Order: sequence, then structure tokens, then C-alpha cells
Amino acid sequence: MRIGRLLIEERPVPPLWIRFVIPIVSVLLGLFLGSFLIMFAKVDPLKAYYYLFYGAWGNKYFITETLVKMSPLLFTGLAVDVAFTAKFWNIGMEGQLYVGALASVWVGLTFTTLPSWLIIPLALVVAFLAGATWALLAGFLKYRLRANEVVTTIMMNYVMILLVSSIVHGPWRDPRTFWPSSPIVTRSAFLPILIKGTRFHLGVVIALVTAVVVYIILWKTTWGYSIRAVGANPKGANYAGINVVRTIVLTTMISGGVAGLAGFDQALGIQHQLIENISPGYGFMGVAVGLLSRLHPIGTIISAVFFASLITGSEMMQRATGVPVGLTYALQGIVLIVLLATMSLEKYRLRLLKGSEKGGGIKDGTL
Amino acid sequence: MELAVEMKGITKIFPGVIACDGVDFSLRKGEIHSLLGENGAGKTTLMNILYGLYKPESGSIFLNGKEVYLRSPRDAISFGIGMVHQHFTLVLPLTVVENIVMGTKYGSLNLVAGKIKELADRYGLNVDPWAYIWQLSMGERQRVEILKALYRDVDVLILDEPTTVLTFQETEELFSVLKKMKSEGKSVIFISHKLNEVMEISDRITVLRDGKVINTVNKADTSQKELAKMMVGREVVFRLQRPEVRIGGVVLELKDVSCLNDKGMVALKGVSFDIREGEIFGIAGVAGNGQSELAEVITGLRPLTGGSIRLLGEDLVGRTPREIREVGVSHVPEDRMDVGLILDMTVKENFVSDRFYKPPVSRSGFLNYSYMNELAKDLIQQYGIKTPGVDAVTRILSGGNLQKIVLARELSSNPRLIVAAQPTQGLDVGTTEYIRRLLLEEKSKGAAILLISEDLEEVLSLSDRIAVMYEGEIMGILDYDRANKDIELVGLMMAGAERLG
Amino acid sequence: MGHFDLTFFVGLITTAIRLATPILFAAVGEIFAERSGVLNLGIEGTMLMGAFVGFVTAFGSGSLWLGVGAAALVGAMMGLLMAFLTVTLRTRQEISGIAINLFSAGLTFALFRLIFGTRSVPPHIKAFGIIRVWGLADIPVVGPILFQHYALTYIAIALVPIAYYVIFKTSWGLKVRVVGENPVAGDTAGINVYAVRYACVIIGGTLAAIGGSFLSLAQFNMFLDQISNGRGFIAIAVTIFGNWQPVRALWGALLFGGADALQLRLQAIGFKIPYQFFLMIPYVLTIVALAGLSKRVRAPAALIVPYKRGER
Repeated sequence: MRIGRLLIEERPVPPLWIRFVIPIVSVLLGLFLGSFLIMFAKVDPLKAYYYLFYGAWGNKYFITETLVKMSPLLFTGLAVDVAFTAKFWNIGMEGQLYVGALASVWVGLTFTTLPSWLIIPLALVVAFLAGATWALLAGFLKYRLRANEVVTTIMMNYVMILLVSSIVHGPWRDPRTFWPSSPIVTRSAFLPILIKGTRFHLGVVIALVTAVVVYIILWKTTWGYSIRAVGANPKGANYAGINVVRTIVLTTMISGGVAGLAGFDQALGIQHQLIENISPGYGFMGVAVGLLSRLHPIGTIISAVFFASLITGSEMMQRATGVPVGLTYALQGIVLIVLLATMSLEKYRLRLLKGSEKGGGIKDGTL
Repeated sequence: MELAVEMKGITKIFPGVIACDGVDFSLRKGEIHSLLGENGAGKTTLMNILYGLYKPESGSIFLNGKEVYLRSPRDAISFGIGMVHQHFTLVLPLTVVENIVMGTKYGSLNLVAGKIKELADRYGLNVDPWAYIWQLSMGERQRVEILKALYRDVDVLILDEPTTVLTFQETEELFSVLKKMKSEGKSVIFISHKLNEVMEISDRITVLRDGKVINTVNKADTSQKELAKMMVGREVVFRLQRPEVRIGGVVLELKDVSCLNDKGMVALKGVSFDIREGEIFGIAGVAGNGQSELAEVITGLRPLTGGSIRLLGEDLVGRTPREIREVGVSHVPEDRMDVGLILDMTVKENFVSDRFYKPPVSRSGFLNYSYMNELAKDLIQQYGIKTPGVDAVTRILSGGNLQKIVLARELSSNPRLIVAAQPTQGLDVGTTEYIRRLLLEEKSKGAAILLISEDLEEVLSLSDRIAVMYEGEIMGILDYDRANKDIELVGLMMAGAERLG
Repeated sequence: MGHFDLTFFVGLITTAIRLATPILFAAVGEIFAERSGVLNLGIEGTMLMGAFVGFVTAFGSGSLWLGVGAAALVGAMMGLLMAFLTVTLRTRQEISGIAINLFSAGLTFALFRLIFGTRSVPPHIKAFGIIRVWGLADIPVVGPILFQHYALTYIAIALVPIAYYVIFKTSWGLKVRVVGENPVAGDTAGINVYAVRYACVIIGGTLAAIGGSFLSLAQFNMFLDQISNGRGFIAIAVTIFGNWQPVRALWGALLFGGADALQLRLQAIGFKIPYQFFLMIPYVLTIVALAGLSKRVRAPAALIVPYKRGER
């Protein structure tokens, strides 16, 4: 498309700097649009955002709270990174989180004689396997039976959440508590608090380590190569000799497993028991977290921190200005939509046509 | 004489490529005008601009003397310009009538069917209006495409490489339809790269090369040889030096191989042949007679329904593509973009897609990037691949460079057998010659090569032995001398009219 | 087993038809969208927005039909947004749909609290009443099943033959089908692929939102967070195994309405099974249906594939 001497042309591959700029632009634009909602609440947006920021980063305790909220988001974001790289649209992280929590609490209630250094890794592995298996079901449904994985994984979320609810109301119900919940897990299964006086627990560190591990897997190993190849071009991957089915199985298991770790994190790091609403939607938010970081595991850390800040900051924002906490969820949605819109713009660029270039050669780094 | 169409100074640029460079083209009323050129010359692009599909960067279009701005095919059609593309734009699950009438206002489908019958009779385009497109043959589908245009009262009909999917008989029928159209006062633009057809059907011929017009001539004033020279820009060297190579033992052995195609119909029927060390075994035939399936069946991309395939004595049937590669088979696929490469990965990653899982590219599961970088740099230099770097995303490279990456990878594994399907399709002359030389080099090294190509010239000049395929069967196998002396026999076998032994 | 008598089944089927209404609206709308080649996963969020906007408008204006109208308008806008993202910007359709759902969930959550604050008694309205067709409603068995329904339910059912006619018997419907099977063919035949897809996605959004308004204005008389509760996705599943045909989608919607109705009734009867398992029924049914039927249906060939003219 040409406007005078300005050419808006397609480019097949966006340069690297754009991949950083786009998320930042989306966040800023999203915050800008969100300010209209804040004004609707008759509050000064700058004031509201100030408290939002303060509530997330204002003092040592707030910072730890933000990081504590970051860990489940990081896990689910990483799950999205892995699955979406292979173009397997796993939206089932919420359910995988629940089953991971379920599995962790089971370990915490059953293996009461084990010391911390045994029971915690055990719970981690079991939670991972639980999430992996649950996700594998959706993978099987897609690749053997051609069932759309978005719909199936979302349905599976409802099923697992209800299942956990029935367990918490039923066989695991602790009769002593008012709200339905399971008994508290054995003390040795509590994820140790790393900073006294806060809720900053081992899970946060495990999440960061997991991000590095996922990064290494995706970009430094042969597994990762297969996953990326299958996501980019399954036909080409098959022709080159990659076992596509095995790769998909691998992907769904890693993705589901990591999402299961989000449940492990919440169950043994925060709640120490199984409750009905153990997750306020961390699984779904993981989609936004993963996408904002363009599916890059290390970027997902930053993205998770950002979304966590929105959540922790919003409580302070509500207390100070009256803007309801729910606004953060609206903000998340707005940022995501803006992100999608701006992501597609990276395919275009502006170029000024010089006089000599009319009908001459093209020098623009492409061939 | 009035000009039905005049295009002046048309320039069209795609990212990284100038498809049309200041092209002037004119079409007289009632003439059949051929646009001649190799793949990538700009013929289709130019006509897509005339049909309103693309907007040129600069230039103007005049129809019957008046300047027009075509924003979409809708505009073009309203001005009486119709186009039949190389790949049919038909909707398979719908009927002929629905396909013809889509996008127009109509009363009842029955009325439309009546009008279609009338047009069909007038021009000799017989087809059942109520048939579903998926039921029709390629020739019949093309008739539907032409009827689509005629139904919309076009005066100018553009045909893009119409004969690639037709049999000999169907081509003759098409030509008589075009002559009838001419007698009814319609004008035709015939895009082709086939010299003999162009010489048969045209009144005037415009030759394009690299996006520029070389010349526009009257048929009477030129010859095939002249046109070839204009198309290619120099004396066409039809023959490459074939090296003297000692043919060794049997490498690949096919016995009675059968398989189905994607639609579940029989693609190969009891195919048997063998290929020896140092031999180039060519498969000639019109596209769609089982050649694609043959390549897939040997490389493990398609299951067999019967027969056996052995490589150096080892059974290949039921093996995975990776296992088949491991025993020494390389595959240059006919679809380099969607199969041969993973375009969204980097160049260096594409060089190792067949071996990334084993040393030296990786060790204990971890990729060795420094080795990959070295290998990529070596191959880029060795094969003269133009790329901004080893980390460039493969998608941005041109067709010739993409194919070079495929070849670099497939040939660097020292294969015993190379399956090369349409290796030079859509590539410029320079790259084409380079690739043919590479194949001959591999032959000298003792590799067995299965060369599948629609380019008969290519098959005839490179192969030691040539098999002709027709409807999934081998009609006959000829050696180099006999095939080149008796081209008519080859043509007859390709058309299914003759069988050997 | 005195529970399962005729009254039970009549009540079950009647309730099934009622509960199927929102799914039917969304599914018929989605058929338009998907027939044109766009998978709109955002109808879940659109239903939610429809329920919210419908409720707020009805609450504020006192008119239920104004609420439905407002919902339709918002649904059209959401459809427009989805069309913009997927048709013009060519974002991955799966992702834009999910984004719209997250956006709708967040927005309705926030706006509901902004508008109503926190109250001990949730705000509610006087919901739609059931229309009893004079004379016919009293016929035993058939009467309640066919002639005692909400106005919106009758409208939803009427949409089925209308949709069928439009898609399969009109020239515009032909355009839709062409665009969904082979947009290149449509484009070269002079059909405006973008316009057709925009129209279909907007129709889909409008109908989904109207279905959502049924939830807050008829089925319940209030708005609750996540009131749509997955119905949008169930509607998508219905579209799939209804083989993208309105009449088959009707049966699919009834099946799910039935599952919903069944779980309500079984709970009421008081089986010893925890209520959560009843609530699971529609979701499990969706999974089973997709697992069993996805291979036997044929999607429009261009579904999910973004269209760009000039793609070589």
C-alpha cells in the first residue's frame, strides 16, 4: 500500500527489536485504555496507577507478595510456552493445576512420615505426572480422534475443578473446618519460607528454576528442536525424520506437568491443604502471560511478574482509591487484546521511496 | 485495429523481488496473444494485475481505449475480463452450477443451468451442470472454469498455463474452443512456457524474462528456436556433459509396488524396477500419474498396499522416514517449502533437520550450536547460498536458495540413494544448471539417483535409463540412447498409448 | 422408581428445550461464522457480555426487550472486534477467541462491581415469563413440551429453518459457503471475502450475545460471574458434531439442554452421588461427543485459515 512516497509494505520476518517493543507498547496502550475504566469509577487514573504500582513494589513485603503471586503465573505461562510452540492450544492449565494440587495434597496427607527433603520432591514429581497425564488425555483426543483441543481442554477444566470440589466436600472433607477443605498436610510437606515474615516460599525459586529448565529444553536440546519443528511445520518435521506423534506426546506432557506444578506451588506453598477455589484463574491467565512474552521462557518470567504486579497492586489500589479489584482482570484482558492487535502490525513497515528506487533494485536485506 | 487491452509501464514489486518491471503489453480485439516466459518471468503476475488481483506500484491500464482502475476481480469482470488460473478456483463440494454462478445475482438455479447448457453447446464445452466438482476430471473442471468466464460475458479471456493438467486430446479440444471464441469476437491471452503450443495457437507472442518484455512478435515472423532464445537470453544449451561412470550393483529394488493416493484411489499399480550404483534412473510422465506417490513410498512418507522395496538388501517397507534416512536414502522433495524445509526455523537449523538428534550435531540430547554454525557456514560457501547469515529465518530466502539448502543437506549425508522429485521446478536457469551438475557429481561418486521430473528435457538429458509412468504403471523402460532417438515413443507412453514388454 | 414417570419426562424435555435456548442461539450464530471459515472461540465471552449488558440495561430501563436489544448490539460489537482481529489483522483464530473470553470475563467482573458495588442481596430483575400458546398449551404431554416456552426460545427455534434457508438456498449463503471452502475461488469470482466473513462473525456475535441475555433475563433473573459457564464452548462443540448444519445443531443443543435439565432433576431427586458429578455431565458429554464424532464430520475446508489476497 502506497501513500505518496511512503510505502507500507509487508516484510516476511520482523526484526528482533520489534519483538521487545511490541509487548511494551501493548502494556502501555493497555494501561492507557484501562484508565478509561478507572475514570468511569470516578477516580484519577494516575492516582490509581500510582497505588497499583506501590501496592506491588512499594515495600519489601509487597515485593515478596508480588513474587509469590508470580510463581503460579510463571508455571502456567511456561506451560503455555511449551504447548503453543508446538501449536497445541492447551487451554487446560486450570484443570492441570487442580490435578497437580490434588496430587500434591495427596502426597502431603499420605506420606506423613517422610522428611521434608524427601516428601517435597516426591510431591513435585507426582504433581508433574498428574498434570502431564491429564494433559495427555487431551492430546490423545486431538491426535487420534481429531477433537478440537481448545474445547476439550476447557471442558476438562470444568470436570477437574468439579472433581476436586467433590473430593473436598466429600472423602477428604476435614470436619473441623467451616469452609470445605481437606485436612492440612503434614508439616514436612510445607514448602519452606525463605524470607522470614513473608509468604515467600520455595515454590517461587522452583518456578524460576523451571523457567530456566524450560528454556534450556526448548532451545538447547534435541527435544526442543523437535517441538519447535513440529509446531512450525509438521509435514516438514515428519519428512526430516522427526516422530511427530512422540513429539506431541512429549509436548503435552511437559506442558501439563508444568501446569501441574502450579498446583503443587499453591497447594504446598500457600494453602497447605486442598480447597475448592485454590486458583482464581491462574490457568487462564497463563495464556496472557505466555503470549505477552511471545512464548519465550525467560521473557515469561518478566511477563509473570507484570501480571502478578497487577494482582497484588490492585488490592492497594482498591483500598486507597476504591477502584474494585476486579479491574485488574479487565486490564489483563485489554492488554491481551491490544497485544494481539499490535503483534500483527509487526509484519509491516514503513519505507520512504527514494527517487532512484523507482523501478530500480531493492536493497533491504531480504532476497 | 482497436486494442482491447493496453497495459503501459506496469511495475509490480513483492518483498525482495521485482515481478514486473515497466511492462508494456497490448491485446488486439479478436486475437489470441500468448505470453511466453519461464517460471518467474512475470507472466502470471502481469495478468493477475489485469484481473484486478494485484495492484501495480506504477503503470496504467486501458480497456478499449479508456483508462481504468481495477480494484478487484469484480471490477475486471465488470469490464469483461475473465481469467482461468493454473490452479482452479473451484469449490469441490459444490455443483457446477453453484460454482459458475457464485458471486452473481441469479433467480433460480434451474434458469442458470439452462443458460450454461446454451453456452456449452455454442463453444463445445460439455459438462453436466448438476455434477459436483469433485466428481469431474481435470479437463472437465477446466471447462467449468471457462464457462464461469463466459457466463459473465467476458470479451477477454486469460488462460494461465491451461495445458499443464490436460491430456493431449483435451489440449486439442481446448484449442478448438479458443478458435471458436476467436470467431465469436472474443480475445484470448494464453500464458505458457510451452513453445510448440504457443507456435500452434497464437497470432502474436510477447516474451517476458525477469519481469521485463523482451519482444512482441507476430507468429509468422518467428520460430521456436527464436522464442527459446528470447525466453532464456542466450543459446539454450540443451545438453550437459554426462560423465562416464561405471554402473555398479543394485542399490534400490522395487517389486510389484502398489499404493493409494490421498483420496483413497490407486496411485501405483505393481511398479517394479531397480536402480544401480552410479546410475541416474529417470521417471518421465505428466504430473499426477503416480510420480509423487512413488517418491513418498520409497522415502517412508506413504504406506504401501502391496509389493516390496529393498535398499542394498534391506527391507524398507514399514520403516519410518528416519530409519530410511539412516540406511542411506536422501530425499529432495517436490514441495521444497512445505515439506523440504521448516521455513520458520533458521537456516542453520534447516541444514541439520535430518541429523540433529545424533552426534556431531548434538550430544546426549544437547544441541552443539558451534558445530551447527560451522557446518552452516561451510555449506553456504560450498553451495553459493545467498543469505544474510546462518541465523536468518529461512522464509526470507528466494526459491533457488531454498532449494540449495535442501540439496546441501540431503547431499551432505553421503547417501547411497537420492530420490529427487522435481528438483529444478520453478527455478531460474542458473540454479537449474547448477543443480543438474550437482546430480551428475553425485552420480560420479557412485550414488544411485531416482530422478522424477515433469521436465522431459531434463529427464532425457540426465538419465541413464528412463521409465515412463502413466496412471500408476510403468509403461516401459528405455535406455538413454533409445529414449533420445525415439522421443515419439516416449510421448506415446506418456499418453498411455503404448506399452513396452 | 416412582420418580421416573411421565411427568418427569415431560418436565425433563420441556426444561431441556428451555435450557437449550442459549446454546442454540450461539450455535446457529457460530454456524454462520464457521461456514465462512472463521472459528470464533470468543462466543463464550460474547455470551457473557450479552448476559451482563442485557441485565444492566433491563435493570436500568425496566424493559427486558431493551435489554435483549442492548445485548444484541454489544454482541455485534464483539463480533466486529473478533472479525477485525482475525480477518483484517489475521491473528491466530484460536488465540483471538481466548483473548476475547479473558477480556469479557475481566470486563464484566469489573464493571459489575463498579456499577452495583457490593451488596448483600444481589441485584435482580423480573425475568421473562413463559408464554403459553392459547389453547395448545393445555394439551397433555405435547402442550408443555411445545407450547409453554419463553419468547426467546420460540425465536431461537425459528432461527433454525431461517438459517438453513439463508445458508443453503440464497445467493448470499452460497457466497458464505464458497468463502468457507475456498476463499481464493471466491475472491477471484469477485466475492468480497472479507465482507462476507465480517458479516458472518458479526451475526455470530449478535446471536451469541442474545443467547447470553437469555441466561440473565429468562433462565435466571440476575447476572452472576461466569454465568455462561462454558456454554459458548458447548455451542462450538454442537456446531462441530452438527456438521455445520442448523437442523443438526438443533438436536445437538437439545441434547445438551437435556443433559443440563437431567442434572438438575437428578439433583432434586436426591441421589446419593455428590452434586458435582451431575454438574459435570454436560462437560463430559461434550468431550465424549467430540471424541466420538469429530472424525465423521467434514469441516468447511478453509476453517481457521486466515485469508490474504495476493498470497503466492
